[in-house]
Amino acid sequence: MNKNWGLDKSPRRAPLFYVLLGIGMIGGTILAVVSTDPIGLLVLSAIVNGIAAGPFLIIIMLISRDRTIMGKYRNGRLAATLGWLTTAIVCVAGAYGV
Amino acid sequence: MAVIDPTAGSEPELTPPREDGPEADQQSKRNPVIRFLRVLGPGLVTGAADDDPSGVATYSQAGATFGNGLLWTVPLSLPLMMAVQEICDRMTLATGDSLGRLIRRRFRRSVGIAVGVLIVALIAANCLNLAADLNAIGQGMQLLHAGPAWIWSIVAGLVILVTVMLGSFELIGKIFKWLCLVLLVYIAVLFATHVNWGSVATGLAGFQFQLSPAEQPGPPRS
Repeated sequence: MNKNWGLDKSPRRAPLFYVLLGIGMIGGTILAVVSTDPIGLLVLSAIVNGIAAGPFLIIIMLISRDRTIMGKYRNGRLAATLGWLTTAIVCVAGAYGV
Repeated sequence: MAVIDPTAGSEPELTPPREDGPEADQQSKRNPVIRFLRVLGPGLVTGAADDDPSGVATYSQAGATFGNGLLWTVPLSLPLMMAVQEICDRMTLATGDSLGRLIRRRFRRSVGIAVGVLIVALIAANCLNLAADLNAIGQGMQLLHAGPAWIWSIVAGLVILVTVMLGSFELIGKIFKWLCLVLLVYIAVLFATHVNWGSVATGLAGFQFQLSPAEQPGPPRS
């Protein structure tokens, strides 16, 4: 979340990022060896991603219409319409998924 | 699958323009194809990463259940996906900040905490994703008679771990960029399988809309 985050930083400069990445990789590898239903895991992960997408879209839309943050790059009418339409659809689908 | 990546859009250029001397540079500046190929990088990788095994597995499940009946969602969702992508790009273009920092600038702390909970859920989901991907790599290698699946799952996991930990951003970017060529397999599959284009057309147009799985030809025999 902060500046010391991401693959473009070295492990020394972004320790938390790389620790989480390492734990995830090792945990994922162990789970890969013991799991018997990869398709079930994949669909489950897609469902979680789909449900989480709604709130993130609301946040993105609120930030991208903010004049103080975006300046002259703030949403035009087309982007706002399509963006909010997407947000509505994803939120309804996500709520249905919950 | 469209996965919201909190760090998306904050990546720097993967491939800095090569120094081929002023003449080569002049020539490539005039050729739009070369210019296009050069700027391909983070965007291509981000797009390709959306077609991850989780997505493909979900499409396959949808296809196995509904046949071509859900294809109408593709032309409908494509402009929406493009709009969201454009908004995210513009956000980064305007601010140079990651989504995480923008959230802290725009919202109160409580919203940040709620987002943190969501991110934990996303990390957990991505670990499941990772496990399933590595499992699929192992099973693929086993199908190729390369040995037991679990060995290849561990090998792949370790190789990726070491590459991501020790490799430079440029190296990882280049590897991912070339791996995107794998997407061409989708085109090859079109020729290898017998696609019923009439059914695809009516599916795309939404004429096969149905709310529950209808009777489909039985599951393909393996």
